[in-house]
Amino acid sequence: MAEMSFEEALARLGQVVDALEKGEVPLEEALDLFAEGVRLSKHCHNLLEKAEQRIQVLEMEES
Amino acid sequence: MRILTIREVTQYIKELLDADPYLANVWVKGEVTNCHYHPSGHVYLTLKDNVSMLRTVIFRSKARRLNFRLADGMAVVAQGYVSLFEREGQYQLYAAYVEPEGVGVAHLNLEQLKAKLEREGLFDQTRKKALPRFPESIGIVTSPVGAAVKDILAVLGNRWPQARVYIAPVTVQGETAAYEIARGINILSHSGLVDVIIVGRGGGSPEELAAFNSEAVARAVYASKVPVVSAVGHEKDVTVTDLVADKRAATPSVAAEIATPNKMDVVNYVNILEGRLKRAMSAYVRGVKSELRSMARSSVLQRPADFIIARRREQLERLDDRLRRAMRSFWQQRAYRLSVLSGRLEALSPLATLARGYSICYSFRNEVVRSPDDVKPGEDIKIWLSEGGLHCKVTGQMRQSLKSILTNGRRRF
Repeated sequence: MAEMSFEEALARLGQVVDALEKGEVPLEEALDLFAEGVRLSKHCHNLLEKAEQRIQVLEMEES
Repeated sequence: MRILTIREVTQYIKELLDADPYLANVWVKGEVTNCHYHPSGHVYLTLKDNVSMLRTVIFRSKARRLNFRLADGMAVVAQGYVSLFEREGQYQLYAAYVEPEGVGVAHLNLEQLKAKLEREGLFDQTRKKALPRFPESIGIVTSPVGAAVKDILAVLGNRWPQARVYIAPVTVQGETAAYEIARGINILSHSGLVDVIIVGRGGGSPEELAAFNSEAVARAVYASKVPVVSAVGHEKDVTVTDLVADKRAATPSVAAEIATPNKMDVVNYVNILEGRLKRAMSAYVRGVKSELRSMARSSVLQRPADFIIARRREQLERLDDRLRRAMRSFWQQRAYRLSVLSGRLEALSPLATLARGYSICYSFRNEVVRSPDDVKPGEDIKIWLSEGGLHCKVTGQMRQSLKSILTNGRRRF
């Protein structure tokens, strides 16, 4: 999950919520989904909190 | 003949002029003299050549659109209509558009370039790429020292600071600008480093925007693998780059806004999802609990011991029954085999042979006598018949066997 992009994590979180809301999964799976959802949400928040702007100026010398 | 008023004559001439199709739209070339910017915003001037003069007015609404300042001595091309200014009885050019004479040629070239690229499909809406919703990395092609880059970085820092930013530093005006900008776009596009590219500068005169009207930049934008947002800060004239770009922004700041989501909105969205997640889970748990309650009400869980004992008893009875049946069939099988075997055994019994009229003879040594030589005359022998037996004494021997007598067909012995 550490390498998951924000976009991927958010999309997966949406799926997890949808699946839980439908409620058609067995209990054990529901618990796993919930745990995954919490991790995904935390991951998204972490990515959003990484606030420092990283700026790099490319070398434009002719090669 | 009626005497006319000045007004009537003037109006008549004005009507003649206004009805003329040629004068309705003319392009006029001349040198600017007596140029005067009036506080009202209108511009008054006279255009002249070595022979004639033409009074010219540019109304405020049109004058505002001029991207250069008129001055005496300037050679210009003006476009507009000729009509009469009644108060002064003066015909004049009402100019809608004025440009320096040399620019006219550049303008024509630009229009031709636009037409060519349009024919080739570079402006097609269907070819426009969608911008990423959450760009992880953003490329900027602009001057590293201009206002544009500062504006863009400021907006990115506020809205979406987690995105990495790669700047391709280029000059945005001058002879090499078009080449540098095109190259910057190519490098970023092929680098695989960025999800979206912002290219632009903070406005400028048509000459200063020339690079953004170049074919080289247009083709670089079109060839880009990632979406390009143009940020040529100029609302009046749409540059070729704007037309080819996937999204067009009026200013560099707006371009940065278009290219990024607002972090606060995204945080809210994640929070909403999180709320839904937790609500969904508690709803799920409530559902499971109520299921458990209804299960608990069923007889199984009300008197578990009874239920279990009853089930075990049933199981036991079933097993017992099976055991009995198995035992029965076991014995039946063996009884059958016994009857078969005893039948076969009976067939082998000497008793059956005796019953058919045969007898067995034993010597006094209690050995079966098979040959006349097994005993001697005078010895006692015992003959077993089907029912009982006889004590006998050997009185003589016959050498001929019963077999030979029978096969010779004789019935007497």
